[in-house]
Amino acid sequence: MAVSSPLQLSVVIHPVVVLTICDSYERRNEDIEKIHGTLLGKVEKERIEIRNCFIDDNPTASGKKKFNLEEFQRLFDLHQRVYPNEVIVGRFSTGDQIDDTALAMQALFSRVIESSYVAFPIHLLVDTNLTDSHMGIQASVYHRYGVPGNDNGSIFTPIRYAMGYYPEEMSASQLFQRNLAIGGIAPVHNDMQHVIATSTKIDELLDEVLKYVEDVTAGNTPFDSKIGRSLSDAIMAVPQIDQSVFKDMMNNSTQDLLMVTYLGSLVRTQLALAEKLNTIL
Amino acid sequence: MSRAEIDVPIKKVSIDGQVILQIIRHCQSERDSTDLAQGVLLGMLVDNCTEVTYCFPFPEFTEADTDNDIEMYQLDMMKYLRSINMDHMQVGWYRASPFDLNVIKDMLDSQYTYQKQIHESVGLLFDPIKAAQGNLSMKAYRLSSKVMEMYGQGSTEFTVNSILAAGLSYENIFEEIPVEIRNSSLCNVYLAQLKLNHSSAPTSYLTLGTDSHLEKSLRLLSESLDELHQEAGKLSVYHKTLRMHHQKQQSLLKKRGDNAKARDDDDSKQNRPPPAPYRLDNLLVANQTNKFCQELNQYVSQSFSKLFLAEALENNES
Repeated sequence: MAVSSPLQLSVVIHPVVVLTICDSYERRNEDIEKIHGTLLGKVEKERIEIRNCFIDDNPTASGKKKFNLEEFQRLFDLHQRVYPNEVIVGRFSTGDQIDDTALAMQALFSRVIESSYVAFPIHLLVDTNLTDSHMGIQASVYHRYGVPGNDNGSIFTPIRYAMGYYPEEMSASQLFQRNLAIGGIAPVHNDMQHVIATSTKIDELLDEVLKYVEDVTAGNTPFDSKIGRSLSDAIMAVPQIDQSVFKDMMNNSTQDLLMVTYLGSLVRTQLALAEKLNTIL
Repeated sequence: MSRAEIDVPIKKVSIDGQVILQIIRHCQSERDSTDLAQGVLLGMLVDNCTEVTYCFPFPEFTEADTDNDIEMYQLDMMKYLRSINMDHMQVGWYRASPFDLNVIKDMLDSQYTYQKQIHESVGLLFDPIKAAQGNLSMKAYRLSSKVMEMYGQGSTEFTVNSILAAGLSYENIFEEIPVEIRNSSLCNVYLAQLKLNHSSAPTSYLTLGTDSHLEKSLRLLSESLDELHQEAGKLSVYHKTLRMHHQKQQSLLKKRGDNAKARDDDDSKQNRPPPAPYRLDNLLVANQTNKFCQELNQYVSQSFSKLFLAEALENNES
């Protein structure tokens, strides 16, 4: 590992990890307060991408369940069958601070599976208690320090992280956020509804921009040159299309689409006809 | 029919956001391979809604894997999920289906197996291409009770007459069930504070260049029409042989006259009518073709709306 300092690390978290942790937290046994688990992902030089996680077995009521390494290894093998490129990149726990269990687990992991463990294991702390009415997510790097061969301390250094999305994840997250506004439960859109929703959104955004511009020109709001520049950039981005070229494009596309509709209807008529013929015969 | 009355009809499928993200992840990692990602849905039933609360992926099984391996994998996975208090009832399966590719035969098989074991199972199709363009597309399907009954009696049951008798047509093999997405309150807290960077959001669904997509859809359509044509050919061959068979029998009867009637039984055994053709494939192909047409229609309607949107913009500008 060429990385010498944890400060060079860039950590990317995919939303699926946080949602899985939240869900598992809600399903924990009644008498325990925190859940712990393992983070999986990919490491490319100093970029660590956290893509997946799995949760440790729920500890028993006494809270003193021994971590079963064999079982963990089996689970990891199962996971590797589907995602062979993913490695263990760290651990996570819930709550507002890193507790003893989390610390002990980090130590155990870096000792037992040293070979497959990354140089700088991540610890992700997800505040499911919602301290300060906010779900804080903190990533830190776990180190050991002390005389070589004789570890006697460990430290968690907080580091910055970013959320990462695949395009698909982005569309899903956007859909989830949109659903929030209407009570959290919503049907999946089809293509047409989607276009409508997006146009409405664009319309709203344009209204907002217009209002801002009018306010500024009327002198009610102090102007911000940064916003002004972004606005002019946006306007410049609108392509200038020649009227006749545009018309051609319009006509061609309309004709194509109409023909496809016609074909589609033809095929469906054929299908219905074949069905009828079969019934008669 | 009595079975259908006892059955609780499934009115909708509700899926946890987490499950959707996990499916996306699985499809994403499997994007470069030729296999389509597939896996198992877990959840529970509430009245007539199937709730999907967790899922796990199937690895790509190689030739060397036996059924036993696959079963072991499932068992191990379920055991783990039970230990962390997940719902561990299988309520169906999911599968990536870019462009609604021809998965319909496999779909029937796996859906039958699931639905037979657990009546409320659903099959979920996810279109990664649409999702990458910004429109999340999930469709849930179930087999209609008529198909369940007939498929259970063995594949030979699907003849022209039996299909007619059951009132089955290409339109009612699968039932599509509305899908809705649900997140727990805790997840919603997280989602609400998530600041999505809208500029990086995929917006390619608003682009007007639709040719490649149309081309691909039309090609798929014509492929499935070819298949349909073949099936129609099979049926007409059957009708021809049947007619010849009848003629032959008639002429035989005439030749022998009445005195040979005693031997008729014997003859009819040798002279059996040709076997009725297997019509299930035809139904499935017709269903697939119909689905392509519907997809195409939907696609065209949204393309039109985009075109007119662009026209309105352009006219306003000038």
